[in-house]
Amino acid sequence: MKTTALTPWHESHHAKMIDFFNTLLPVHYETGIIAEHEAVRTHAGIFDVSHMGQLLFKGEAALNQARLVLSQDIDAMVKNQVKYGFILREDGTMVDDVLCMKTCDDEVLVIVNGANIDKVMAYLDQRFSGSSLVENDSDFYSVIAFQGPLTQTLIQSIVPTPLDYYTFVHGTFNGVEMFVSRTGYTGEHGYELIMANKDAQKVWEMLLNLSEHVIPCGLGARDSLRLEAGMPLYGHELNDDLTPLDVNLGIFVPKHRRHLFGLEERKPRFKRIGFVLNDKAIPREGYTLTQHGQNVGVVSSGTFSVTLKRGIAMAIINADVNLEETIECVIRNKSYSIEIIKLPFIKK
Amino acid sequence: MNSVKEGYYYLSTHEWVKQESDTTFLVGISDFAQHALGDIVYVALPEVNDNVKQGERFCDVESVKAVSDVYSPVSGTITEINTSLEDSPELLNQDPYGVWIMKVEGSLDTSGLLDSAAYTLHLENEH
Repeated sequence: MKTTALTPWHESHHAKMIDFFNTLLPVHYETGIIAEHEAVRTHAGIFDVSHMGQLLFKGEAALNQARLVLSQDIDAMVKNQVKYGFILREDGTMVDDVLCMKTCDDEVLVIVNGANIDKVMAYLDQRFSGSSLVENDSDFYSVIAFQGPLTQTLIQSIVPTPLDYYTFVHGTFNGVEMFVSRTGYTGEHGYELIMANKDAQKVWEMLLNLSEHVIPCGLGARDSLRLEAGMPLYGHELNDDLTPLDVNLGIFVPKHRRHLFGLEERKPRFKRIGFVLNDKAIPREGYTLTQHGQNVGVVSSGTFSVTLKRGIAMAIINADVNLEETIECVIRNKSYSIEIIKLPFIKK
Repeated sequence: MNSVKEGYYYLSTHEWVKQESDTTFLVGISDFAQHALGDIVYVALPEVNDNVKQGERFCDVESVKAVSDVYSPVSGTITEINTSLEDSPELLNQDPYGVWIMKVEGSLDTSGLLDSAAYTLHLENEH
């Protein structure tokens, strides 16, 4: 199993560690998921997300490959811009969802899910017949997410110039070379910092020392925060069989690029919805949704919302389901009426 | 971490039973169980007068991350449930050996259970 540069720190701070797709990462610290979740909603938290991968497309030939597989229009991006999108197959299905950072005029750094690094590399290799020009820098970098309302002020002692949403800077800050990007996976104001593994602990402690209100948070809170924010997670809302159109994410595939992925004419087969339960029950991944006794979909992610104090979930349902009529979620042989909520659950 | 209380009997699935009188028993979950679950947010309580059987599921406990079955270490009839868990499920995290889930009228067959020494050994071996 892989570890991160911060694994010794997590273990010495009594984190509960799990094997997350072959990387040992903290689920929560002694504070627990609820306190960590609340800290990010009200103050600030830091997350070790070093399992995320970094793939570099450098030079015109590599960019030409990126242009064929990324949904993003990298030529429409300006330097220091970040864009969300996908690595797509020619049939429009998703290999991964990714952030694309325009690091130079002739270079993009693509942030992929840790669980998908090998799959993406294999896909690129196959797609370009063994001549993939991507450079996998994942083992070189650590990533720390710094999230919560307090981060807006606290970041100023590291990066003095304010950053617009979905932009980043690259430079040496407090003696550490890093990328600082105004992105995140919590629905809060926040940043993601990418640095060499050797500097990870220094940055981690630098962030913790900014304020007593900054606490370390694990993957448990990260998952409950992103779900409240209505953000999809690969392996749950997204997978190898679905296209972005099937999960209401077509907006991230520009119209003029859809022909590359066979998505010009393709109709969505499914839709992605968010719902709450008003009973004391929690919808979980894999639970069935029914309408008039027929199976119409499945819960892709579900949890107890720490903020709403209710069960919330995202689900993938058939495209033709009438949302005006009652849909039920089957939990342990009992059916509960769901209340569909326009995502995100938490509006900021 | 993972304390074991003496005088209680345990299932290997981390529930405890404590004898209150000759025929009444209290049932809860162990410190290991509450640690493993993490923050408990909901307890689906059984109902008074339900019959329970040793080794069979009688309720489920939900944490932020997951739902878990809870098995009864004792056979008998439920005479009382701890209704304070409806609004304060986190009590199970805070005081796992002081907070019980149900009170059962019945008889205890300890042959299928672990005493505190055996349960301590079980925790060491299994985890």
